[in-house]
Amino acid sequence: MRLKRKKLNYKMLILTDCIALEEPLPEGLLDFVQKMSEVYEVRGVAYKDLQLTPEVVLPKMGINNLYRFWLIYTRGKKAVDETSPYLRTEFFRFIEDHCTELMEKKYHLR
Amino acid sequence: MTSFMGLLQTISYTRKIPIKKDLIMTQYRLKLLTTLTNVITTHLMEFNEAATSAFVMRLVSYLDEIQGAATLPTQHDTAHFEIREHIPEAGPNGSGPDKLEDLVLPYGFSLLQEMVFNLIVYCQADVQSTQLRKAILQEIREILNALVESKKMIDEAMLPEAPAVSEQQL
Repeated sequence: MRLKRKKLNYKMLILTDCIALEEPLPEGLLDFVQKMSEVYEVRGVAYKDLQLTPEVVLPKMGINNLYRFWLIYTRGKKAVDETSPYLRTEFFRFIEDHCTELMEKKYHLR
Repeated sequence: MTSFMGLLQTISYTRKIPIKKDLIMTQYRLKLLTTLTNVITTHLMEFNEAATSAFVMRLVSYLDEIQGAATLPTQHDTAHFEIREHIPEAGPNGSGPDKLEDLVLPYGFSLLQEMVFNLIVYCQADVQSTQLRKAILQEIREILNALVESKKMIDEAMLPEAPAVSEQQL
């Protein structure tokens, strides 16, 4: 998850915006950016990858996709119907649970 | 390109806080360089995974070396030449006229190196906060490393003997 989410560079975009802030930087800003970007990058990549699967995705890049990645890791390498609404819903549930856990239990952001 | 720069302006999170206007162009540069670095690395990985992976890891190790340096290290130029030596040369390979495939790696690697080195220079020159500078350099390192490692990870997961993992482990 840590590796896959870097397909979107939300954290870098926010850090880049921060360079124009007056010194000193607000206390805890970088820590907050680190935590929130983790959540939003995972969500962003998950929703984007699910949209791309399976019709639009380029044949060679098809495997480098978080939804397919999740399928391989949790369902093994056997062929599954990627378009199945059940699997897609399960994937959404997994992503939302992961993000909720990050925000509530790990980082206490809400 | 103009519309892309316009799009970058909309990706801003600090409009309601006092900001230094003279750094807006640096912000655009860093955003543009990051986005292009991401796109080029992804496509080079699809083109030639082994060579791209090795080249990107050289850039990553250089980024590791300069982490935390307050100014541009004296060996910056040396590192530039050292890394450039690992870029395959463009030109006829003896088997006939240039083909597009023969030009992708030389020009792609060259472009990638220039973008990363420019990003480092802009970052060292314009980012005042040491903490923030370190965070930006660390982030570009993470992005490059993740693009290479995630491909390796999926290849490993596809091996017949690869074990299934639970959602918690994922």
